[in-house]
Amino acid sequence: MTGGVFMAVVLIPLLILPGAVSWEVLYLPLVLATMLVVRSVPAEPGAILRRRTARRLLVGLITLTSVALVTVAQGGAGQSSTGWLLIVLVLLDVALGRGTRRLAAATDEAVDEREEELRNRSHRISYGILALVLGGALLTSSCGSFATRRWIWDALHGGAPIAIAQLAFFLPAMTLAWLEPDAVDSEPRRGRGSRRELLAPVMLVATLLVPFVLAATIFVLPVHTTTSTDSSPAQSGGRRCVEIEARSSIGIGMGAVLPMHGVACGDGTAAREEWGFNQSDCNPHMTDSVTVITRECTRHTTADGTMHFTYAVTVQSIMLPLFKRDLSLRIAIDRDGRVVEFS
Amino acid sequence: MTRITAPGRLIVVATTVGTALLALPAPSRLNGYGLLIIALLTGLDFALVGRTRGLGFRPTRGLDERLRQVRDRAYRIAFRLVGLGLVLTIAVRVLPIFPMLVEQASQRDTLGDGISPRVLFAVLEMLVFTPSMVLSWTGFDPAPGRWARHQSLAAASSGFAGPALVAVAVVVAWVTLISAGTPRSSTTNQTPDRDTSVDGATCAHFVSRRDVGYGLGGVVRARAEACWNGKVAFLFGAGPSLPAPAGAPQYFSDPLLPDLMGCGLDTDQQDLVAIRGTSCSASIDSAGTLHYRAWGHLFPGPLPFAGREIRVELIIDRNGRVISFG
Repeated sequence: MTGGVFMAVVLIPLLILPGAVSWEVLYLPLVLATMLVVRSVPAEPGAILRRRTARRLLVGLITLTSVALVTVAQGGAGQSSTGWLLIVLVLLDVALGRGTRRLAAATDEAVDEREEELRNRSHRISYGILALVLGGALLTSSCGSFATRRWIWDALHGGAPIAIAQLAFFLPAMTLAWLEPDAVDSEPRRGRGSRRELLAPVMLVATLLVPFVLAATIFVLPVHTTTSTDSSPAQSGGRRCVEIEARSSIGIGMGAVLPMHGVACGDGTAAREEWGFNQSDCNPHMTDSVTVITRECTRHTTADGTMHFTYAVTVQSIMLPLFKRDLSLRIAIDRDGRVVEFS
Repeated sequence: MTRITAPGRLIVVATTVGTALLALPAPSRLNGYGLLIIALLTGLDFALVGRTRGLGFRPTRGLDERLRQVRDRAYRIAFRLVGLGLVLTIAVRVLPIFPMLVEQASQRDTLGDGISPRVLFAVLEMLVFTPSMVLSWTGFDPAPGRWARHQSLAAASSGFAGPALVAVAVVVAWVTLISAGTPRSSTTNQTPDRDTSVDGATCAHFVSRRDVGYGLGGVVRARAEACWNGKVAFLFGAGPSLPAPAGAPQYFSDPLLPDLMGCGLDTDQQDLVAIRGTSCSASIDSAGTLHYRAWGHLFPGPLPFAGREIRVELIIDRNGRVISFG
């Protein structure tokens, strides 16, 4: 049943509307489905999160992600990474809930005396951390200098509210995960978990990996280029005109589309641009989770009257910033208005 | 052991109202009365800490098991309340949920202002004193005798005099800080200003800031839009309140563009301080150089007392060279 819902919500729209729907929109149901599945199974830490080292690593990852939200996600390319960081944070919080058996959020009726003491103690410690971190950051940035005042303003209008919400709602669980010793099995292990218990970790890992897999498609898959030329629009006065439309794209979900659309005419002596081959036409379309840097946007006419137009960019993934890929569109139209090069 | 008292809860309610007044975007300006709210809150905080014998701030060492439980339970409730308070504060002050309530200059000029001082104090109040508020609300009352050595604190905070004295001390400290401290200044100019187009001229946007009380009181800001055309430098968008000097183009005073120009100091930052007598003047000399001055008086509270003058000057020649700004 869950698999059917998953197919209906995530995969069918993807098949019907290729390229029309942003991947983030399709990814959100996957995240929600993962959260629902994970929450529906008993919150037992499992073999890995039973260990304090693993839980501390998890707390470290959550802290790093929160810091990244405050420092990285401010405007421009960083703004688009906010969504991904938020998704990662949500998934890590789900794992945190399992690792601590959601004790930090448990009601009084759901805990025994020892657990209640542990829960309340973690809240007290967390309160001190929250007051020091948040109060300290606000006070020092306000009194520091004009630069720090500007920084706190930018941060609060970037990813900092998410980081603050993270602290305000999950810090006790993080404290608990950090403090608790290695858990000891108090009950005999069941021989075989339910299907949902097996599905939950698989979905969690898959959901975490999806953004990175999508980012990898930018560098692994071949460039996809579609072109069309139409010489019919204007063939008058001895001129031969050609309308050219091309799209060069990389990546699935994440990536960039480089468009080219214009008309050039040749009159027997030289080819000339009518429209669409100017600097102002060098704009990437549908960039998603990437930074696009224009390397070249030039138009020139050679001695034989052939017009050359080149639009080249470098695409850098936000998720995998160490990798870059070049993307370009080149066209040459001779003096008779014929396309002699298109790549 | 637990004794719910009306005064204890009254103090909590008053503290909550005071904090909310600081945190909420309405009224958009407190005109210096923010100082009185902070002074009142400090007095109430003193009363809260006294009533709860400072249990919210006591280390675990020296507390018996029951007191540890009471304190930790209060912290758990306080953590949730503070989380809710922070989310609400961000929603109403940072996210544009209630834009109609926020009166401020254009966004590009408020970028460097940082967070509003009233929000800063509201958040600090929440973070520091919410556990004591919870303890006071739930009626924490330690057994007599056990806390004998803290009776002096309790006695000092139980009446009116102790908290009032603390509140007065805060006001005195604030007045001293504002009137004696040297404000730090910062100037920025955006040249050319691509948001402004004037025929045959180039324009630049100038912003000058002075911090108040080392940033605790926010900033005082003055803005100007100056243009030049090789013959004369002039202001743009000043509006009819600033008559065009001789030699100035017609659009010196018309239209009025408050996003670009404010005659004098901006008054949208009047929460813990009051700005009065703000005005400006402009002249153009025979060489076509613009001399613009903005000034006003900054007072550390709602009353015209212990103020200081803030003066900003911009001199720019007909070729756009900034001779003086600050």
